[in-house]
Amino acid sequence: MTLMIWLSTAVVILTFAAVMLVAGNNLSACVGPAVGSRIITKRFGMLIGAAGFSLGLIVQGAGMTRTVNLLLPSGVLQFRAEALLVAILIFVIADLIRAPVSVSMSLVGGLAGLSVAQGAFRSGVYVAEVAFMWVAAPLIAIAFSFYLLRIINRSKPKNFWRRLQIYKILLIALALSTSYVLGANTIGLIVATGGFDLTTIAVAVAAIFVGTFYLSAGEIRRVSEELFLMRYPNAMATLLTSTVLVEAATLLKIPLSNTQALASAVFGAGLSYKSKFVSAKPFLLTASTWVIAPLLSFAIGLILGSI
Amino acid sequence: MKSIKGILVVGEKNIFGELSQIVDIAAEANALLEKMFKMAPTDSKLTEAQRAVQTLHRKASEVGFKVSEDITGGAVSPNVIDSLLACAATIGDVVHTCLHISRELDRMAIAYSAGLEMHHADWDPVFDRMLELIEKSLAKLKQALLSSDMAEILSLHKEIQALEDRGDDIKDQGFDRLYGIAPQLNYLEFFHYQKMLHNCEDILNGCADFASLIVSVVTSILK
Repeated sequence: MTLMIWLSTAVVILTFAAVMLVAGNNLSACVGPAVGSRIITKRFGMLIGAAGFSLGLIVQGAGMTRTVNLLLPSGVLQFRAEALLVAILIFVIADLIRAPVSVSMSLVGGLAGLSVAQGAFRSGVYVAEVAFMWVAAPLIAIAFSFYLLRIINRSKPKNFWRRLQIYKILLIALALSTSYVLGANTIGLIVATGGFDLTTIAVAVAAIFVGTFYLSAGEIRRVSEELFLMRYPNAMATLLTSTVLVEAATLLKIPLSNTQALASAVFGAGLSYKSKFVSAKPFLLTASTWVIAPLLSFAIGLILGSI
Repeated sequence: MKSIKGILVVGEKNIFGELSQIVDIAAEANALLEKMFKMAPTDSKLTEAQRAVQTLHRKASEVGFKVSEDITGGAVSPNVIDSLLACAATIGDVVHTCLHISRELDRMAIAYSAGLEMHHADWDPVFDRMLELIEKSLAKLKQALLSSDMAEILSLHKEIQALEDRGDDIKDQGFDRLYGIAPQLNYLEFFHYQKMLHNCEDILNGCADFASLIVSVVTSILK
């Protein structure tokens, strides 16, 4: 009984920690273009991000329980805690070596590893669906943002100031929508791993606000000032692509990394110009983590589950 | 509330509006120069006009400082900050060159008053044409700054470049003439006319550079 209480408490704490880290780390990707373009202030961006994460989690986050139920049918508290711990550890290590790693990918890998170790793995078809989505999503994102930008750049506005104003308003709407889908998908998956109930949702919302307001400051400055020195159409196309893809994945109840969709969309945006200004090396490096992170988590999950 | 209001603000458009104020000041300074060129060296209004240009220069510097502050602190895309700052600097230089010309005219008048022998060659048509080109360039620049049509801006850019080319030709013809009458001129007069020609061309070059920067800014924020 005491062990159960300890485990329940640990799961809640780990859920809080994981959500806090994800919120703090991913805020910049969601609201960075709007903050970097100085359309909104950093604080207002944080507010939009936190509101979007929370709304997404509350409205659509429950859909991610399917992933946890399929990958971890036993639903044992210990495994939930271990899966969260693995995801947090990999995230922290990756952050220390400045490698972009997706928490949702780590979680799926960890859950699958634990499940296989326990001999409870029965979701080969679902894992295949997830793997297909992870391969298809970047390719779709590249193509989508590529053609979207080509179309945007081909059109000649009669009043370019009006178009600029539309871009700015859209960037704010997209900052909210990107945060929303991240809340529904990645944060939804974390909360589902912790057990999707009122307590974990309340803890997650608190973690979202703590992470957003206390952990994102440096990251948002770096991303908005260094990485997101994008032109308005580029920023708009990449955020729109990311929103559409992650929302589609959420509707299909498949976890999809927001940063995976975003990074691919950025790559596609760069390719859409006649004079290419895209360096393939960082993109390929990032893409390699999409393979390494879930496999590493799977291996750790397998080891932990076998102990 | 400030953030919500900021959403509706197109910072770049506001900056263009502020820059057009400096273009207006440059046009005023140019109009004064036209008058100064027509004045006799002994005319007391020459110094008065020079002071008026100086006041305009001071006003342009104040507006320029405010524009630079608004560029670095306003709702402006970081991609165009450098180009917008260059815009402010370029149009500031145009007004500054107007001040140089006015000072040179005033100083030359002092030299003539002090007894320098005047070898009057009829330069009025040359500088009239130059200042007329500057006036046209500045008017087109203002039109470009207030335009919301990319095609119109591109067309104005071409027209301003053409005006610069015409100015270049006039300057070359002016130099040919200057060297032709060089034996009749003293050093100070030669230097004076040479400087005037260079300064007028510099203003036209500044206008053309400014027009190119406008195109660059608009392209950067749209594509």
